[in-house]
Amino acid sequence: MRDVIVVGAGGGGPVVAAELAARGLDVLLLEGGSSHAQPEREWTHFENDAFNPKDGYFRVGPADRDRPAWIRDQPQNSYLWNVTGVGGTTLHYYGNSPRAYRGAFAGYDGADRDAYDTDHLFPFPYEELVPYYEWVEATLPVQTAPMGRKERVFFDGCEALGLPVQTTKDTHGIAFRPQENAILQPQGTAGRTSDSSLLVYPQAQGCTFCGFCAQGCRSPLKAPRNQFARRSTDNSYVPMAVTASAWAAAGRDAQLVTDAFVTQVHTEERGGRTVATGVTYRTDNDTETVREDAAVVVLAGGCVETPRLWLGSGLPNPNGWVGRGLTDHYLDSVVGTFDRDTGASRGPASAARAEFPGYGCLEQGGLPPALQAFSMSHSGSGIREMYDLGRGKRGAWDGVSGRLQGSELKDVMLNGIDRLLGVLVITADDVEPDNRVRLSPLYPRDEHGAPARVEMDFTRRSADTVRRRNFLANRAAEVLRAAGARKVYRIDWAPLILHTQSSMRMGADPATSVVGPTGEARAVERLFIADNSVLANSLGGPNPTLTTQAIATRTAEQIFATYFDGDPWVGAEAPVPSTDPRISAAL
Amino acid sequence: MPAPTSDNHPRPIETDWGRRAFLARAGVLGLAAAAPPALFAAPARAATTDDALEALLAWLRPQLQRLSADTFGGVAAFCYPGPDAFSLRQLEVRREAGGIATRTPQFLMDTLDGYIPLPDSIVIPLLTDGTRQLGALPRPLPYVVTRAGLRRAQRLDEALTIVLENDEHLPASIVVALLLNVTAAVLVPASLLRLGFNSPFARLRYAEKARVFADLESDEPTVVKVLRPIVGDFLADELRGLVHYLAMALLALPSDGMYSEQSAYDRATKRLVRRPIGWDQTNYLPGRTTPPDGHAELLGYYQGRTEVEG
Repeated sequence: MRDVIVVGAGGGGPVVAAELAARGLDVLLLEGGSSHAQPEREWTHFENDAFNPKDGYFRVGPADRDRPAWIRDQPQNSYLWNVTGVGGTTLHYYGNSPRAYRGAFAGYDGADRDAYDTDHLFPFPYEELVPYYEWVEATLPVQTAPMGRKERVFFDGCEALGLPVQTTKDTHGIAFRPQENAILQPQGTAGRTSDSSLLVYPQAQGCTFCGFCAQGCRSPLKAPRNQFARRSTDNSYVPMAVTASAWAAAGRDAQLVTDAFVTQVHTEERGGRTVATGVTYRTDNDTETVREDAAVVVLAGGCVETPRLWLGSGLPNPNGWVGRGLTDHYLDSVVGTFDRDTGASRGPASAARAEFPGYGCLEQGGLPPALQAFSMSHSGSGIREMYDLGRGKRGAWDGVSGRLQGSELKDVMLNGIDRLLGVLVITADDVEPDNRVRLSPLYPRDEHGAPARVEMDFTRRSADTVRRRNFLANRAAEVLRAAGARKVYRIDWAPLILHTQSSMRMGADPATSVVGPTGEARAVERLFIADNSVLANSLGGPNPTLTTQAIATRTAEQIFATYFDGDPWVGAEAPVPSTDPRISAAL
Repeated sequence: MPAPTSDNHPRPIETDWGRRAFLARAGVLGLAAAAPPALFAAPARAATTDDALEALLAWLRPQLQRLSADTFGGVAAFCYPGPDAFSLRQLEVRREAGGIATRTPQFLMDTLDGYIPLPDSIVIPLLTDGTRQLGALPRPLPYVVTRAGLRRAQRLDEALTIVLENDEHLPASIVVALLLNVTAAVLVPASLLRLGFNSPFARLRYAEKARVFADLESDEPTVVKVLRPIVGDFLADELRGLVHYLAMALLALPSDGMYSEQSAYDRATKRLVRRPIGWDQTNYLPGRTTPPDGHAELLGYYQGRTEVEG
């Protein structure tokens, strides 16, 4: 009998695991995918090797790349880009760690309060989360991003438009700024050379500007795992969890088991209440079945797997909101071509952003060539100049929105990958009940049960969501033009589902939420949710991982206080950074 | 799920007009022209029926692969034209190498086959009973196609039905190829008469290919419209979602084929065997075959600020 079982070692689960292991609890951390234990041997800097959805090392599937990927039923024009394995989708994230906008929380009374999804607010005030933000920001740590050429280009555009500069972590109005990234700042030779022989730890520390964030961060060379530059959870919270006895006075090392796919959450009835008691998982290439019991179970498999596991386990769903309300920031891409070096393929993938509270935000992004071409050939409004499906849009960009294809796309790519700059449009999208995750009615059950279906239809967007996105796309085009772009394209992405939120949302209203304000499921006691799915909404636009991790820290406290008679620690203690040398030594 | 394979005798098929038109439009009937005549000869005795059918099946499976390769060649050239026969046929040619040179057709087929297992509950009705309706779409087939090779059509239909109904893992790429070709031939009937590739889709001009994708991405693709009365709204809606997803994959995944390292990569050594074409064309990591572990790119901190609070 464990104290706590955490299902999923992605962005949120390892936070709970590390925090509770530091309190001395017996924590089992289960991950369905690869351990990614030897990145120097297993990963490369190549795009197809990393991202191929069939057998890339960052895919949704088992550790053995010769085994088939796991099915994701997507009944629409969309591309869901999750990653399984230790680190989860943080394995390929950019480390962007902005705080949420205040308007996404209960109690906000700013002049723009009606600009947010007021039907689906977080069930507590923003101020209550700030100490947890600060705790996570110190633990990861989150630092102000340095500047390379592509940041300089973006800042040029923002300055030319007269946008103010933000010099705080909290956002209070329209502004631009360097990203607050979960990436260690460059020290020593990092960022100053491309000579690999000089980019060895400790001569080089922090970000080396290699440009391969999405292929997995393993820089600088020969650094201890918890000293790699980007603080994906494989480099931060997971090392903390499994070495807790080395850095926390009362700590007890969590046990991490990979290739452990949970197929059932067990419950029992106690006094008329449904109570979680443990899980069953399949392991050893799905040849073994293991049952583990625990006082508390934490689901953290992500916005797709958590509702799938819930539904597949037959857990109660009294209000029908399990899996519903999935938000994805209704992302879009606006791309400019330049006659000068933008440095797009070099440095951290995104290190500059602009905030537009009430609408969402923009961030510049540099991509390697295949991803760049993919990002320009994924659209909901057809192929530019050929057909637009009645959805082509005009604005501050050139011509009509849509895919670049054929000669037009080749010409843009021939201009040079480092003479492009993309701006990601991150929309404050409203919670829509019909955008959701459910069990596929089409595909047969596999060894893990019925596959997940992700329904994200871009025709199911509120008028406000569409209006905010168009506003942001116009601002993105203006920034690029002001920065000197020769031509600007709006792609009008079909759902490119990178940011996933709120499919098991917490909320104040029991009728429209799965989870209550403490992170505990309303319908099942001792069952908590600690991944992006528990977010109440799309945060007003900012990237979700930091907020998920702050909520997960808060949830860990709630678990400790409610079921283990412990005291909260955030605000009472000083956080230990995940780069602590005791962790390096213990690894 | 696939039908039991213990008895491979096909049920007697009277290859009706609609089915035969489907075979023509899918590009399958065209394959028969290149087949050894003996494959279509009537067996002398019942005992030889199985042998004859097996021979036909053995011939058909690689032919379907070839048809797929032709079809995906047409897709790759559409996404990334170059100085190749597929690009020439679509009348959109480029001087620099395109998707064909980067082996994007095979890359696409491999990726689809491994990544998108198509649900039998849709595929089987679509390609068996449904095809009779697809073939009977009210668009004229060229006369020469409708009159040619009745016997061959009959035998091919028998063999194709066995493949579709009994092959446990029908490659997604073959189904997608048939879908593209049928749509192409319905929208542009003249594609059946043009010479060259087996695939009617690969015979299209560039703007005609765009019409095919516009149809596949439309609110009600042609194949869905035709099948809806037969399969009902549930399966038709499911098919529409699947077609939309496949159209996305066909238009977006070639980017990986064209610009990634895939055609120049040795997975065993995790090294490039040459510099990828797409890297040269985008001037990515100039001159390198080994990606660097960093860049001299640091310009400092905006306004000199290295940290913020609150």
